[in-house]
Amino acid sequence: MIVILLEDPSQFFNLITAFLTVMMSFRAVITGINNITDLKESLESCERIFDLSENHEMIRDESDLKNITDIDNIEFKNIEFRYNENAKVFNNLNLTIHKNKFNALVGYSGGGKSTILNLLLKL
Amino acid sequence: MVGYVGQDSIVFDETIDENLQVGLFNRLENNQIETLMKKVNSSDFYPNENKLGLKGSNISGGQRQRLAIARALARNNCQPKLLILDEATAALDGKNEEEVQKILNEILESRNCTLIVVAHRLSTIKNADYINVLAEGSVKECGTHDELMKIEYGLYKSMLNA
Repeated sequence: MIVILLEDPSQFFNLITAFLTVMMSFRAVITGINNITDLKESLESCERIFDLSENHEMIRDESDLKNITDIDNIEFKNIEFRYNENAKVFNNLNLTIHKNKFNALVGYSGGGKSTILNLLLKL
Repeated sequence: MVGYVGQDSIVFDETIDENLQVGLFNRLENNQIETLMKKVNSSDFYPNENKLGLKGSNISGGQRQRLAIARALARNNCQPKLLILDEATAALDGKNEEEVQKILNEILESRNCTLIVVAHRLSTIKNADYINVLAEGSVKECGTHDELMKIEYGLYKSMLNA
């Protein structure tokens, strides 16, 4: 190739043009990949929305509400919970949330604080 | 019934009034909105008739959290029975955190409803009636700050010293 370049200088410019063309087409590929990740995120969001609308009890207006007028103590008794086969989040969890009291949940991250809230809110 | 404030609250590109009305069966009266917004020290961004921008970008993170607190307090005709605060100040910086915590403390002190607070900063839950320490899938310790501090080599004590 070098020999060719030396023999005919115009070949050199052709080579640069070719190189730039290849680079530009790569750019298009990279932009394309970015768009695919966006698309994937959107699809996941769609899935979640469909999931909610299909599988959960719907509350359309006040008549669908269960008539709860007050919330008493909330008790978790012997709760076992896992997100998947291997990782058990709760193993015999006992917890009382006392009515009209200031109840605090503390613990290192991964300890299950948020999981308790999610269970409570039926998420 | 249940008011919830998370780490980073979702705010809609609507006016503040409309953001408070979201999901309520009985629309709030103007005076109720004023009372709520006063409760969260909102004089720096309320009254305001403008829309809040995409994801509430026209107001600051601290202001968004205060709006979220007001929204939580609006539940059940401004009488929520259960208030859940899930690290509500975790995403805020010093001054904002202080400001939001001050409002939360007032709410927490009143004990008007059942309060569940998840905290990463233990100083914020020192006055709790029941502190539940979670580890390894169960509640390891439960009690007031003073009670838990008495447990030698206790988890709570070690977390506080860490």
